[in-house]
Amino acid sequence: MSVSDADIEDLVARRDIMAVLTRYCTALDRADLAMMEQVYWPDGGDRHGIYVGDAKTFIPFIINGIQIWFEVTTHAISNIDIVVDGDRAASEAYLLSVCRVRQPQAAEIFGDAYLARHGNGTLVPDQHQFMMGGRYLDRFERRKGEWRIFERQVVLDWSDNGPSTEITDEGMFKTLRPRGCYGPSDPVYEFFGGASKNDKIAAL
Amino acid sequence: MAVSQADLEDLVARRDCYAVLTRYCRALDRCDARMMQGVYWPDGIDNHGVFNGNAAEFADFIIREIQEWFEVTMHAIMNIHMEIKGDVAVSEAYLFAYHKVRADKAEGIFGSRYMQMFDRKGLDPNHHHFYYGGRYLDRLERRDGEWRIAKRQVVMDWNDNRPSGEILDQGMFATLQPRGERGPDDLVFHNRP
Repeated sequence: MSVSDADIEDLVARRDIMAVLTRYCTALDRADLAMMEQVYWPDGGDRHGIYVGDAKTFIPFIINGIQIWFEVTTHAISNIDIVVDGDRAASEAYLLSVCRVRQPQAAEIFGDAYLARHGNGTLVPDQHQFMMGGRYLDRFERRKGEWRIFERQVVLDWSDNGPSTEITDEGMFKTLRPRGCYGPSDPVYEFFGGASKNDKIAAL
Repeated sequence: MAVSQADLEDLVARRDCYAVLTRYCRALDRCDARMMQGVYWPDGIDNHGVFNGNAAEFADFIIREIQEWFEVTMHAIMNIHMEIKGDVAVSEAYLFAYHKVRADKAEGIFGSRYMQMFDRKGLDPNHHHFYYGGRYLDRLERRDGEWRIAKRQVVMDWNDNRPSGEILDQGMFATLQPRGERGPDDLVFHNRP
């Protein structure tokens, strides 16, 4: 059975689309505005629930917001289903996210019922986190050979909110260094050559 | 370095087998019995523990039962290791799953020891959920150019059972709309290129 040119083009398109999906997560978890600007087309849109509108406004909103709301975030994607049709594609990606909430923002994030119950935290007072499950539903467009998101719709499936039991300075965990962080001092930047993670030349 | 035809065939087969693995999860989480039937060969076998036998019967069984027991599920797969030889593939996929248990099914899912300790202990006192770590061990076969599962064995590695910490209508979560659905209203069925 021979492989057609159409199949090879499909595989390359999937590779490039997959790189955009992970780039979004890296940009978000590292709060990298410049990287996030490469994820969407300038005339694209984003429907996140907490934000609904054009991508151009969403990008600074979310990069700013994530640093105000959360001390640390992980956005991990899996179950990636991509349908490519010429210069357009549609995709679903499952999302599993963990966010540790900054204390002053706890009321805004969790609401009053949660705070009335868990206000005092567990291991560390006033330290809370949530895990959530959802999905990214995207429409991609390829323009001049480059794939980016044209329209993103986020769907929430579930959330699990509770006092954080994070340990940073005791037991085994105090040995687990380095830690990830927002901004260019995260180890991923130096690892990929000091520039953007997306710069393939810098990685060589 | 030129890419051999064998490598290209392998890449295409991996793409197609991966699509079967994710289709299974979508069929389950969206409760789509017809989609689930298309994941297995009609003479396929599924050994899930909770069910062991013919895959076509399993498909009907699991789509009925999952709605009976759970309000929301998520079956996320990662670490996919595949080996392809001609028209047969074997794969291991790590599974991380979330299940929100229906209020009246908690005792049946968790048993009495859990309920004595955790009944009505959640932020949402009527609900509990569990996380599950396991693996899908699959044998896929290609027949007339189409890959489907011929035999699936599910392995459980761990589970973690908890009173619900869900927030739906307060704080930031009130704004996070829309929510996932079971059935054709879920937005994934309306997302096309």
